[in-house]
Amino acid sequence: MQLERIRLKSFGCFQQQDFELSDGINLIFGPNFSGKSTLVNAIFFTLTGKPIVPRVDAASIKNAKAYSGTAGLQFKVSDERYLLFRGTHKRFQLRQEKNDVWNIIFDDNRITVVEATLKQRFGFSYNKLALTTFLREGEIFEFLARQPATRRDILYALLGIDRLIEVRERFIDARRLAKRERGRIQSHQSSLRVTAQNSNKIEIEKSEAKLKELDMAFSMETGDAELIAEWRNSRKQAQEQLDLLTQEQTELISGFNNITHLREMIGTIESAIKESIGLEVEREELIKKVGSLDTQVNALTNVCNTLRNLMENDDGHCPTCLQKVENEVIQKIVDEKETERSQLTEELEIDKKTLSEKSNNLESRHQLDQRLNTLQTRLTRLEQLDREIKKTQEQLDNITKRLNERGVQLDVESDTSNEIVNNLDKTQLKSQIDRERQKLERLKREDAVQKDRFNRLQEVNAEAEQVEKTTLCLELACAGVEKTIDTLQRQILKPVELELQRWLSEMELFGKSQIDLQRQHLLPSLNIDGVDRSVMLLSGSEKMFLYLCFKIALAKVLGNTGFFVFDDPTLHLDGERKSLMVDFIRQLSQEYQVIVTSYDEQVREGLDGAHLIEMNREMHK
Amino acid sequence: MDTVLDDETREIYKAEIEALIQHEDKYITVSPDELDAIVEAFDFTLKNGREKVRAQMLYDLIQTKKEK
Repeated sequence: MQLERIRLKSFGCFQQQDFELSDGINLIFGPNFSGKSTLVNAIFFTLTGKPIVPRVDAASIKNAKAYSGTAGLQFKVSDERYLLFRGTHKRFQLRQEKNDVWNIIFDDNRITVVEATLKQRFGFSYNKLALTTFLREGEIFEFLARQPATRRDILYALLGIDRLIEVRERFIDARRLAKRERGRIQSHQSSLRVTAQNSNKIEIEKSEAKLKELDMAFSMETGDAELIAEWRNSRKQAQEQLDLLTQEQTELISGFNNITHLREMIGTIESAIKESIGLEVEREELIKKVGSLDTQVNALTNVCNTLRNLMENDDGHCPTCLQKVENEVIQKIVDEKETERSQLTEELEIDKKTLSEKSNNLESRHQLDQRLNTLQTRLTRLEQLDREIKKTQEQLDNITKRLNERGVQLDVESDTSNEIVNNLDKTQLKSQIDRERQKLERLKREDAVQKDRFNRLQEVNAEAEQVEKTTLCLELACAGVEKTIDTLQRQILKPVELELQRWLSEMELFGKSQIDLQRQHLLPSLNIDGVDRSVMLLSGSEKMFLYLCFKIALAKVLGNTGFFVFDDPTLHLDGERKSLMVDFIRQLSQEYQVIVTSYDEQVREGLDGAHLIEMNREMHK
Repeated sequence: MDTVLDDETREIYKAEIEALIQHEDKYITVSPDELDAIVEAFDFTLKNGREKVRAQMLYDLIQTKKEK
């Protein structure tokens, strides 16, 4: 976009005046009160509908003598020429030139409609123009003094993420709603839990049983009641007896699967004992045989010894018959006797071993005898117990059958029968029945209410689960919006930071610097040569250059309108810094149209060759 | 923001939500359907603005989608 002409009518100090602009640098030069700032104000007002100085009413910038003032701006966008007129009484008109004729293409006085049209068609918005295109007097100090929350709002509006803030607020409202709903349901849950936790089922069963017995007692004779009480007692005793017998049976059968298993074991032991019958006789015979063999062996040993003595003495006479006997004959007899003795000794050893085995077997059989006796005793007792259990069970069944025939409820422990026996007055019984019936009805009513509450509690629990999940989802939704805002800020501001660093580096102002625009919501956080420096502590000129570079970087990244308007940027700068500012403007004008106001001769000389708009107070007439 | 930017913003939002579900234990139970409902609610609010969207609408939008 290139501004071509400013047209004023009854605006500020001007009656009716046109000012031509050129591309490159435009220097609006003149003394104080010549109308330089009015021209800046006129451009800003035409584009935004608001005076450039905040908190000033649009009507106050009209010519003091006029009912209404109008500012107009002629500009070119992509070879198409437009003319904007805006009156201080809110009238707005947009014209477009076609074949040297200016056609009105939009005419309205509704502020929101006009702003929306300008934003849609040319990308104009108050915040964007104020922060990225115009520099008004004192703006920098006002910006630095802004509250962080205000700067944040400006940042969000500038980056177009203010709508996300609206989304976040709505999600927060919805989350609040969900939490309130959760609280309501939780309190409902608590109240239902307290009342629905107890059921009357057992009480009702007891009451029904009691009522049945009372009814029965009411309908029977005195003797019947006594008989039933006796039966009940007998049944109880029989049951106890049965329990004792069963317990003893269980203890006796321990170690065996069942009584058949025990019988099989006894059979096995008996067979083993049978096989060992005759073992004592065999053992006795064997003992005798061993004794006899032992005697024979001893006798033979004596004979052999005697014969050997005979040979050694060389006497040769038999001690019995005293006849001479040859040594060879004696030796032969000795050999025969030795052989016989050896055979007998061998036989003796075998018999001794057999005898030992027989003795061991006999010992085992004695043990088996003992085991058999024990098991037989157990078997006998078990068989006896079995019979007794059967008998007791029969008794029990008989009593139970009789009691059942009388309609006595047996599975509920009750002393009612005894009470009934002791309290046979029919009138009293009748009143007791009535009371019990009333109690039962009350319990059933309460139970129905409890059931209803329990069902309701189930429903509320399901509802609570739903709301809990919804609350979680809304929390997630809020957190997601926060994260998205951060991400968008980072995505947009990062290139701005880099562009700002580039400009500062070209200006050789702060050495090696790093800048963060997100931390303090657009207020640059500076790190110069590795040291953090507060913007507030910079000199006036440093602040000015930093702020201008920041504006340009922001404009470049967000999409500039194509021009910059600086109202007296060299104010309060010394000669050296004025020269630096002139260089800065010249450098900027290589890419953009720049409109600068000044009353300084040094600036005029520095910007020699720029399009000069000379202002003086004579022009106001 | 225009429609393209709205779409981009929605995609960023969806990615952020997915990252939160992945990294924060308390959101691990959020199902894909619920995630869709959240993104839909976000998109609806972004397009219609604060004036037209009431908190109850967002609450219902997420609750109803979840019940499906």
